[in-house]
Order: sequence, then C-alpha cells, then structure tokens
Amino acid sequence: MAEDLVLDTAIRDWVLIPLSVVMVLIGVLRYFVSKLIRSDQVPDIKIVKEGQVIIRARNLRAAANFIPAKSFRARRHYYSNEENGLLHVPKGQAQNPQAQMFSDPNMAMDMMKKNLSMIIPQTLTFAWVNFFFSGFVAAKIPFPLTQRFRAMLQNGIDLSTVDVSYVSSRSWYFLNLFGLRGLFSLILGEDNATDDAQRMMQMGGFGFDPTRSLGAEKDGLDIVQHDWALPKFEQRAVAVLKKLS
Amino acid sequence: MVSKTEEEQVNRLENQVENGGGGAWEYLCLVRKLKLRRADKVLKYGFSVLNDPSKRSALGPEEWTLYEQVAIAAMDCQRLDLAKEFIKVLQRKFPESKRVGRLEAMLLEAKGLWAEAEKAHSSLLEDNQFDQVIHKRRVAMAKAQGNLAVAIEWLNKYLEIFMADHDAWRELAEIYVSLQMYKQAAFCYEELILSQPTVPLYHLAYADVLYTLGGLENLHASKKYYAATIDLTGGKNIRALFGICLCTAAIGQLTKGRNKEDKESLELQSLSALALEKAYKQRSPAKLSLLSSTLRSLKVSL
Amino acid sequence: MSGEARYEIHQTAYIKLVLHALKHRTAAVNGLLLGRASPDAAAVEIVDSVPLFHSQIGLLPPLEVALIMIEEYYGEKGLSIVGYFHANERYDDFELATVAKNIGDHITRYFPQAALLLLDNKKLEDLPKGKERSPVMQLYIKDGSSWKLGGSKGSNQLTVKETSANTVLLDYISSEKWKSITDFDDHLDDISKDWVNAQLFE
Repeated sequence: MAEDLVLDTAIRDWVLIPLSVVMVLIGVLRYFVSKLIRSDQVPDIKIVKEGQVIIRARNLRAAANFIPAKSFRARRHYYSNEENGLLHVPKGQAQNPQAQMFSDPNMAMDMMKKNLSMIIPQTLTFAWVNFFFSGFVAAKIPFPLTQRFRAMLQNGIDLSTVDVSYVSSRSWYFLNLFGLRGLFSLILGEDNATDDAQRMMQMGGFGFDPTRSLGAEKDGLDIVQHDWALPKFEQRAVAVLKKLS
Repeated sequence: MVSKTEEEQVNRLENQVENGGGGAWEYLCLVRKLKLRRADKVLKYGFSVLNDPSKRSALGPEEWTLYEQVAIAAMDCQRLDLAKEFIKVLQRKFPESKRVGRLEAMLLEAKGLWAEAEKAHSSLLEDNQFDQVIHKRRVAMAKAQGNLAVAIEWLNKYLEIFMADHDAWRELAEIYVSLQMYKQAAFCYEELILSQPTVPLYHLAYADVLYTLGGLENLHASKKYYAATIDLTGGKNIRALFGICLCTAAIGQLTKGRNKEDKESLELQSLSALALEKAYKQRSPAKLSLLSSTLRSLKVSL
Repeated sequence: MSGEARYEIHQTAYIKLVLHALKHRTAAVNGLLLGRASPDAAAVEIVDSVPLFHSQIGLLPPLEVALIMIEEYYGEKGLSIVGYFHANERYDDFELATVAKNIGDHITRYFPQAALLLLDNKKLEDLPKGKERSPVMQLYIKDGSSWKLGGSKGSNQLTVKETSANTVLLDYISSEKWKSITDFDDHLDDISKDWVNAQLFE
C-alpha cells in the first residue's frame, strides 16, 4: 500500500476550485445559450391529435370492462373501422421515421441545435481539462473505496498502486459534469436544470413513430375481449354493505 | 377535486387573514393552486398586498402572478376599473406577452363586448392553435351569452383535437344534462369512466343519467353503477344508496310483479336501506322517521 | 281556471329561496314551494319552501328522493307541494328553462294550480335602491299546455304576506346569512345538514 500522498495546496487553488467554478459557469452559460437558440416548437396538429387518440384508445383498452358492451363496441368501431377509424392507418402512408426526419428540415434543425448546445461546450471543456490538468491527482476523498472505483475516480492515471480514494483531475471533471444537476436546479430554478443525463435519454428515444403506435394500439384494441365488470360490482357492493351493518 | 383537508386548510387561512393574522400571500397561493373561485376574498387580500410596496417587492417575480390572479378576480367581481389597471401594469412589464393578451381578451369578455373578444381570441389562436385556455374561453363565452348550442359546438371541436382532456368531457356532460340531452351526456360520462375508472363520482353521475333516461335496460345498468359507487366509496355515499332503492323500486314497477327478480338484487336493496338507516341514526336522528316513511313509499321491505 | 288564483308567499319561504340563489351565484338553483290552496281554489298560500339543488338540476334520482321526503315531512303538517322555484345560471337570463317547465308539469299533475317562480335578477339588484314591495320573482302559471307569465292584467298575482319582507331580506343579505343556508344537495352530501333550515331564522 502506498504511503499517503501529500497534495500541494496550489493544486487546490489552481485546479480543484477553478475546475468546479468553470463547470458551473459553463452549465449556466449553456442554459442561456440553448434558451436563446431554441425555436418555439409548434407541434404539428396531426401529431398532437395522434398523441391524444393514443391516450384515449389506451384508456378504452384499459377500462373497457367498466362500460356496457354496447358502448364499448360503438367505440371500438369508431377507433378501428377500416374506412375512417381514428386508429386506422392506410397502407403506404406509414413513413419510416428516418425519411420523415429528412422530409422535415425543422426537425433536423432542431436536433442539430440541441446537439450544438450540448456537444460543443463538452468537447471544448474536455479538451481544455485534458490539455492543462491531465495526469495528476487533484483531490482525495475522505473514505476508502474498493478497486472497482479506480476507473471512475482515476481516469487518466494508469498507476495501480495509488490508493483509490485519490481523484484524478480528469475524473473530477466528469464528476462535476454529471453531479452538478442539483446545484443547477438551485441556481436556475426547478424545471430549468440542464440535465445532461435526461437529454441523452431523449436522444435515445428519438424517432418515436406515432403511426406505428397507432397501428399497435389498433391491434391491441381489436383483440380486447369485452367482459362487463359491473355485474360483479353488485356482489361486491352487497359484501361491502354487509360488512357495514 | 379539492379534498376535505385542503378545503379546511383554505378556510382556516381565510379566517386567519380575515382576523388580521397575516398569511394573505399563503392564502392566495393556495387558492391559486387549488383553482378555487373565491373572487371577492382574492380581490380584497390581493389588492391589499399589491398596495403595500414593501409586501409587494418581497414577492419578487411572483408579484406578476399575483397581478394576474387579482385581475381575474376583479373581473369576476365586476370591478372592471381595477382589472383594467392591473392589466395595464402587466402590459407595461410584458408588452408582447400572450398571457397578458389573454387577460385583455377576458376583459373584453367581462365588458360584454363579445365580437371584439372573439376577435382577440382568434388572433391569439392564430399565433398558437394549441392554446387550450383560449379554446376553453371560447366555450365559456358562448355559455355566458346563453348560447349553449354554440358552446357544445366549440367543445366538440376542441375535443376533436384534445380528446384526452377529461375536464372538457365533464363540462360537455354537464351542458348536455342541463339541456336534458341525456343520451349524449351518458356518452360523455362513459368517456370519463374510461379515463378514470376508479373515480366514484363519474360512476354516480353515469348512474343518475341512466336512471333519468329510464327504460328497463337502463335502470338495470344504472343500478349496477350505483353498486359500483357503493363499492368504491365503501358504502358511504348517500346518493348511491338512495339510487339503489329508487332503481329497484322502478324496476319492480316496470316488471309489475312478473317476478323474475333474483334474490340478490332484493338483498342489495334492503342492505342499502339498512345502511341508510344506520347513517341517519348516527348523523341525523331527527330525520330517521322521515327516512323510514320515505323508504316505505319506495316499497322497500326492511 | 287556474289563471285567476292568487298566490301569497310567506316571508320565510321567500327569503329562503332568494338566499339559496345568492349562495350559489354561479349555478342554476331550484327549490320547492309548500303550502295549501283555499277550499274554493281561488288563493294559494305558500307557507314554506325547501331549497333543492345547485348542481346538475336536470337529473332525476336526487329530485325523486327529495320530492318523496319533502312530501312526507310537510304532509304531516298539512302542507303539500304547490309549486317550484327556479333561478337561472346567468344573470341576464330571463327565460324559463325547459328543466323548470318539465318539473312544473310534473307538479301540476298533482296540484293543478301550481306556481312556477323564476328569480328576477333585475329586481333583486334594484332592491337596495328602491322601496320595492313586491317579491323579486316572476310568477308563471300553467295555461293549457304552456307556462304563462302571471299577473298580466295589471294586478299582482304574487304577493308576500309580510310587507316588510324585502327589508328583512336586505338585512339578511348584508349580514351574509346566505352562507348558512343548506339545500338538499348539501343534505345528500352530508346528511347532518338540514334542508328545513330551521336554524336560519333564529
């Protein structure tokens, strides 16, 4: 086991603190920049409507047993008849999302803006950190950790003998990048926190295709077996009242 | 829906403010959060906060929310002069805002300048056709002019796009009931039950509508929905208990002793009657004998 | 034959109805009139009233329960249902709603001279200014198959028994008495609330 390393106070003053401050400032700056270049998204009326249809159809599927059979059948017909049912998608009209994206320049533009505000500052700061502060230990956390944390905390230092509780400067950068969310929500208000993790999720979910889910919803609706639940409720009510008296 | 504890909290705060105990701002926030309509109080307290520069500046950016709230309350109380003043302040602060534009349109409405209000609304809608508040204002405007047919038309148009908005469905149901168009109302309540199948309120309203429609089939269905209400409320809903008794009596009358009624439904009826008696014994003993004679005239055998 | 009957409403009945309408300013409300007819059917005395509902007036089940209960309660006192009161949702609406007409039709089946009262918002608003003695309501009577505005021949067919009624009413309004009135809707939500409103005039 290596002896305790003594960290120069200059490291604290010139690396640790500046790095954190810069990360916070960049986060704030990025928030305002992205706010500036974000275009007011006016969603397409068709998409809004399709979203609502899906919610309503899903409700119908989930709670079908709560309404009389006649009402259910009327609704199912309304949703999924072959002529003008709400969920019916004529063949050939279903586009694949890729084509849809390119046919709508706004969409691509929007995505690019999102990417710009996220990727550019990240690459820049990463390059900056790499250039100036790579390869040394910047801080020590006051408790011991297992070897598995080495990759997370000592990124950029390839020494297996250094105790895991030391944090390399590059790792400090990553910790800041992902760990400042709480601070941002304090500074910028609850909803405004620039949340990288969340945004990445959104990116992953991109390419959501309403027409496909319309079709899926229709198939789901078609196979629902209607079984009116209300007659059972009479027995349940009897049981409830018996318990009362 | 406002729960009982929330309502108590509001009333307590209201009393406190009334007696000079402070907490006006908390009261106003709560009223806003719960979407209550207590215009006179909001106007009174909100106005006093806004007139006190130190209190007003303590609110920070919330100040403008308060201006909006009080302006709407002022319109509700027909204090159009005050409302106009508040809206002017807001407009100076946010000259391009749609939200202030909405308030201005509302002011036109309150003045009864329907044509101009409509114009303001449609220009706001042109900017953003998804502004649900404005769509709803249009419905409210038609209602205020007593033009229920137009209100229904607007609501239907709105629901064509935002068909998952259950508040709109509920409003539509209530309009239909007031016009005695029960079949249409029943459809709306079905829609509400679908979207929130565990809310007893909708089951109850649906049952009421079915009962009003009449006919053997509807009465049977109505009874089932009353039963669902009883199940969901744990037998505490007086209306549902009465509903069971009414339904059974009406069904008995229609079938006129051609007694294919099963034992079970009679059991449900007598159990409901018992539950009613018990509730009255506990909470309204003076009316107990009245209840018994009422049940007797419904031919409920105890 | 019923067109000639005179209607006299007692102060308590009158005040209850108006206060009920004031409590629920943003909704249509209704109420029942209880009283008796003179033996020759020339005069109808409205002795008491029961405020009924303030939401969803058009639904039958609560109304049926209310009718049965109220009939039982007042039957013991020798009073029967002699009419119906309605206040519109909108301030400037002076039309008699179809719901009101239908309920009125139902009542006439049992009491042919039934009165249908509609709250007159205009008169109610002018109350503090003038010395209006007549009630702030319009009287409708069944004539054949339709409802007609009563008192068209210059005579006032509807009068309040006590001449001071409007003064008392104003007094009640200014002391915010309307807050404590309870109707049948309230009773169904919480049965410990009393629709007779006996405590109101204490």
